[in-house]
Amino acid sequence: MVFEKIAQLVADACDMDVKEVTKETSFEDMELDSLDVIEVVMAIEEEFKINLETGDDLKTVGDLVKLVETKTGA
Amino acid sequence: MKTHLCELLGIRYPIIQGGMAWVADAALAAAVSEGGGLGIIAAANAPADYVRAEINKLRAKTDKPFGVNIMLISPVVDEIVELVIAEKVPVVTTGAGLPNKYVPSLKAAGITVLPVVSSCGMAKMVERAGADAVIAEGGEAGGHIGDLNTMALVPQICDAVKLPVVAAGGIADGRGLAAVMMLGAVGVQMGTRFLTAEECSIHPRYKEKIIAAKDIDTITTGKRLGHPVRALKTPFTRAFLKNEGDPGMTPEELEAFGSGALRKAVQEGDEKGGCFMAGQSCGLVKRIQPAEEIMRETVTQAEDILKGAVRWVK
Ligand SMILES: Cc1cc2nc3c(=O)[nH]c(=O)nc-3n(C[C@H](O)[C@H](O)[C@H](O)COP(=O)(O)O)c2cc1C
Repeated sequence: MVFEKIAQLVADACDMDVKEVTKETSFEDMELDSLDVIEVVMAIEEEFKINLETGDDLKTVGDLVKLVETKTGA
Repeated sequence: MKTHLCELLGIRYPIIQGGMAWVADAALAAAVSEGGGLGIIAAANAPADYVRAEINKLRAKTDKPFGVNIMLISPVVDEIVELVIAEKVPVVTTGAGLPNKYVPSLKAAGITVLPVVSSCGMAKMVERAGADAVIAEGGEAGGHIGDLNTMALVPQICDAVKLPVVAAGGIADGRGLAAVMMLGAVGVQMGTRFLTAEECSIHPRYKEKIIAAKDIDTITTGKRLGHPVRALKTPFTRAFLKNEGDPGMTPEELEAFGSGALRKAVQEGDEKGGCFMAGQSCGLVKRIQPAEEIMRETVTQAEDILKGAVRWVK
C-alpha cells in the first residue's frame, strides 16, 4: 500500500506512467532534482499525515518507501 | 534604515556578507561586522581547526555579531556544527541542502539560524524545523545556484513562510536593496559586491576581473552534474562547458576537471585552471572599497530611492 501511494505521487511529480515506477527507480533517472524531491516529500507527508524531516539523502523510490514505513510502523 | 533583520541579528545595516568558500575569511567578515553588517566566515569544505582559527582571528578584531556559513555537503559537516555550538557563534547560515537535522541543536545553543533556500518547498521545510529566517537566493548569484531568479523567487517565498526573508542574488547596490524590500524582503545578502572589498584577501587578479566584467560576462557551468555554478567567462569555464557538452566525458571526469578550481582563482589568480565565481551583478561592481563604505553607500542609496518612491503614487 505504501509503495503504491508513493509510486503514484512520484509519477504525478514527473508526469510519468505509474506502471513505470519501481522501488529501484532513482530520482536522477527521472530528472528530479533535490528541489523536486522536496516537493514529493511534502506531498507524501500530507498523504500519510507524517513528518519526514528529510529530503537530502534519498536516492530512489525504495528509499522513500523504507522511510515512510519506519515512520508509520507499517 | 532599520528593519526586522537588524533587530534579529543585532546589526546596524540590513546587509549580510555571503559566506563564500575560500573567500570569506576572518579578515573580510570582521570588516563587515565591524562596519555594521553581518560578516560571515565560510566553512566550505575546510577542517574544523581552520574554522576555529578564523573565528578566533575575527574575535580578536571585533566584538560585533558575526556568522559562520556551513556547507551541508562538507565531509566534516558534523564537526563544524559541533564547533559553532562550542564556540557560541551568534549566527549560522547554511548552503547546499536542507539543514533540518542540525537545526534543533543549533537553536538549543542559542544560535540564530538562516538557511539559504532556492524554492518555497525548501523554505517551508526549514521554517518547520525552526529556522529564524531564510535567505532566498536567486540564480543571478555567484557560486552554486538554483533555477529561479530573485525577482520571482523572493515574493513567492514571502508568501510561503511567515519567517523574515533575506534576498540574495543579483543585488550589488542600493537599487537592489530597495527593490527587494518592495518584494517583501527585510534585508539582503551580497556576495559578488564584497569580492572587491579592500579587506577581501582574494588574488588581485580576481578583483581586477570582477571590476572589468560586464553584464554578460558570467556563465553557468555544471548543469549536467546537477549543481550549476555561476562564474566569470574565462578559458577555464569555456573549457568546462565544452567538456560538459562532450558525451565522452563521464561525470567523474567532469568533477575532476572542476575540482580545486575556485581555490586556484582565489589564491593564484590562475585564469587557465581557476574558476572565478561571480554573479550577474559583476557589471555593477566598479572599484575596490572598504567593506564599511560598500554598505554605507548601499543603504544611503536605498534610503534615497525609497523616500523618492512615493512620487509614483500621488
Ligand atoms: C566566490 C563565491 C563563493 C561562494 N561560496 C558559497 C558557500 O561556500 N556557501 C554558500 O552558502 N554560498 C556561497 N556563495 C553564495 C554567496 O554566499 C551569496 O549568496 C551570493 O554571492 C549572493 O549573490 P550575488 O553574488 O549576486 O551577490 C558563494 C558566492 C561566491 C561569489
